[in-house]
Amino acid sequence: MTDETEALADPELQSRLDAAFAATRPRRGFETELWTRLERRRPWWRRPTAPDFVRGLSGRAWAGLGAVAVVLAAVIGMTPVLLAHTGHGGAPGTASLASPAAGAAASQSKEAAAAAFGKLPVPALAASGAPSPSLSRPGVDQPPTAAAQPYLGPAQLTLGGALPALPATLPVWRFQVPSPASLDELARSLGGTAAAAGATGYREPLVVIQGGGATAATADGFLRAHGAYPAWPHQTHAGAARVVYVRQFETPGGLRDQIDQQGEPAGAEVDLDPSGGAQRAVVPLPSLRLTLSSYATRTATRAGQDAVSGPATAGSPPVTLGSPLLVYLAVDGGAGRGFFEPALLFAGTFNQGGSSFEKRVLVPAIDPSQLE
Amino acid sequence: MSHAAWLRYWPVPEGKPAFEELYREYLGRIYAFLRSQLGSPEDAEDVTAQVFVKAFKAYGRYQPRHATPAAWLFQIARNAALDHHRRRGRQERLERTIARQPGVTSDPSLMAEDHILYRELMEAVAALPVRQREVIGLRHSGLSFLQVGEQMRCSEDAAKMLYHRALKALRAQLPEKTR
Repeated sequence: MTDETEALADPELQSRLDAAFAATRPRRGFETELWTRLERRRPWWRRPTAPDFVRGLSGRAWAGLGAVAVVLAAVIGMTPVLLAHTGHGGAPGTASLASPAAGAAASQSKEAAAAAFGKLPVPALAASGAPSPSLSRPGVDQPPTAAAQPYLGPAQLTLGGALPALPATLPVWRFQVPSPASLDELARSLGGTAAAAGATGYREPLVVIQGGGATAATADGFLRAHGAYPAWPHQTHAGAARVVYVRQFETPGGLRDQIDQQGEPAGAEVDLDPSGGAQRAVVPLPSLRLTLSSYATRTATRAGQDAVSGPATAGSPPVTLGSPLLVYLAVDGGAGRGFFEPALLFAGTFNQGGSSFEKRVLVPAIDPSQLE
Repeated sequence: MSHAAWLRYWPVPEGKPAFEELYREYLGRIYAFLRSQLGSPEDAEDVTAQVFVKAFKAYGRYQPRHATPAAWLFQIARNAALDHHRRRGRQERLERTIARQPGVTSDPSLMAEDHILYRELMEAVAALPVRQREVIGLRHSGLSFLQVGEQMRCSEDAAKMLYHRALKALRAQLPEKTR
């Protein structure tokens, strides 16, 4: 390439184009509608309504099953003859379906799934300065005087709610964290600055955009004017002082909310002034590209056991955990990479010292063999 | 291990992801590329659907060793965009010879969630000459210059030259306030 073309690179326009392409997405619902149309084109044994073990079979697998059926029929038919010749005699046996090949196939499948991104970092809630409950007089619990505060300290945990059936696999998204210089440039193209690491733990790259002024826009209008309105699926929670656009991730069972490492809903946030105008926004970088891979999940039973398996110190409060929510959170993968990984968020409340607390426990939804 | 559990672990064909993974990963990118080529969100949505229906039908024959999933999908998308322009050209010529029908207002509930700033930029790209808008669309859909060159039947260096000329033309076309 000549010097002339290098000089014409126009990095500012390239950044705007990057942001435009990353943010341009079809209308909400289009992805699901089109997928439903495609699903209707599948043969019945490939549709979601078919049993899992039937759906999971590839075309070659069906051919392989046919071959296995022929071999089994031959073995079953020949077994009495073979037993008679070896002196065992008696009633025919049944061929075992559990073979070393099946075990190899299992580990090969898991390795194939793990190979896409390799083993994943373990998602976890951050150990924060969450308050420890002050001990009241033994045996006396005061009624709660305020909303439950998050509590991440030790507790004696039991499981009280039903466990959801997880699909066989769940999607994991990976992203590359831009360099500080690129992040600053992309943030400036939105009229903001790159956000520093937050007190709520690890998050995907965020941009802070200051608002205010004589005629402050609404939260939606503010974000649209800066090209930062979420292009991803989300659910809006509008309060008097803050609007949160909770990011949602598509899974086989539906949309799942994102949380941060405190267990709080996460996505884009706009702080409002008393008149309802946008004061400040913190938004995920719109041009962040995600790549997708599916990972095998742990069983619901295993997840429940893991939720209550933490060490309980003497005197720690007893907490009964309810049914978990399947959520997604950003996890630091190191070396400039991050992941959005699925996890089960359990919670249970207890009262102590005149206050109400909520104990949160996070269990990865991915099979342990595919975690670091 | 039970029979059903053994079947659950039957390995996926090597090197070829499940179609749904391709769909989830590339739907947004293909749509954005087609927006940049066609201009209107309705056309981009229609042609995106055509692309994935075609890809879905052809996936059994797709061989990863011949082309990456990105190259394969973007080739289908590129051809679909060119076909759309050819059909629209025929339709516009037809409309000039018959009485005009009353215009149909776009249903706001069906409109893509647009960013005002980006809409102008994407429309400016769609207004470029065909090879310039293609090179910008492919490059900003995540393809390398080598892959762009393969798509457009030119060398990597030729693709870079074309891209930089396209940027210059786009810059000149943008309204004063957004330059």
